[in-house]
Amino acid sequence: QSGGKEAEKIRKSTVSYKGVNQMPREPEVKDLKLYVDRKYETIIMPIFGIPVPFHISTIKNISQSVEGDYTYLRINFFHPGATMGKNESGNYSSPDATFLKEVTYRSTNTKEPGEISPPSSNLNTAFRLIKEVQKRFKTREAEEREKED
Amino acid sequence: MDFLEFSSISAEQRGCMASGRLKLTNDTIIWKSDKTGKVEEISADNIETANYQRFVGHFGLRLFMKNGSLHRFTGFKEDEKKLAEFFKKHYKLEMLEKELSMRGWNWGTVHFNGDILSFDINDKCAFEIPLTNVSQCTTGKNEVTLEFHQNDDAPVSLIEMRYHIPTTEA
Repeated sequence: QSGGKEAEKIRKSTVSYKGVNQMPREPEVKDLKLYVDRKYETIIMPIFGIPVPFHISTIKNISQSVEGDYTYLRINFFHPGATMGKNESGNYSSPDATFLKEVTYRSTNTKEPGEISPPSSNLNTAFRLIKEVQKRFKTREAEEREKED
Repeated sequence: MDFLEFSSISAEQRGCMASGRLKLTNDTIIWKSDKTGKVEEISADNIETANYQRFVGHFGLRLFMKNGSLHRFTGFKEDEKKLAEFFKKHYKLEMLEKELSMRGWNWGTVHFNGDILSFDINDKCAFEIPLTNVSQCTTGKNEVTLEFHQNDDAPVSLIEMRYHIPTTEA
């Protein structure tokens, strides 16, 4: 019984959406920008025309840099071979799978006439919110582990 | 001649959605860009499979061509039945749904079909990369890096992706 409960908990924490209807109806999603869904703890990233959800538990760390006219946002994911938390390792039902390890986005810091903010503000917002959601998720996970012990 | 016409239909071009109009005739699909006026013609005879895909608040049309290339259009509102009937009647193609994975996982299986890399999670596609967008591909230990051609029209553009491929132990 406890095994079933455990499995359910893992599933709950790592699946972003049950279907497309749960995806947020935000302009960023439709406009193929990055969007951080705080309710479902998911980052929606545009990949060649498709808004793709990634659950916060898959994200290891992120970094941002400004080089010249561009802002870069790099997102590193958990994968085998890297340091993984106790809980995450149990999630990989298929160790032979291919893992997305890293993605890098680039956006210009230059404002076009008529734009309120430069396109790179989307990456700045995403960076801030990913950090925020990640912190909250990690705190909650630590609390749950403490309760179990 | 029978035809269907849709305004505000975007076509995927190197990671960016370009707005335009789509017209379907008995044997051809024509998309015209609002911005540049450029016209793209797709002969229905060259379509291998046609799918529709649900997105937030709209749906998309996915055409996989016999030559291995991909055309994608989005912005349709509740017209999937009308579109499916048109495809069946004129192009003799069943337009079925191609469901996208919403799981939010970063692990799955990579499949290659024509010019397309498809990243699938539990048999559902999470995303597709038309390989014509790849400017460079390098491999390292258990690692593949893809770099992409840049599109300045995209507000946010994907420039690089790295994959981890575990060593399969025999």
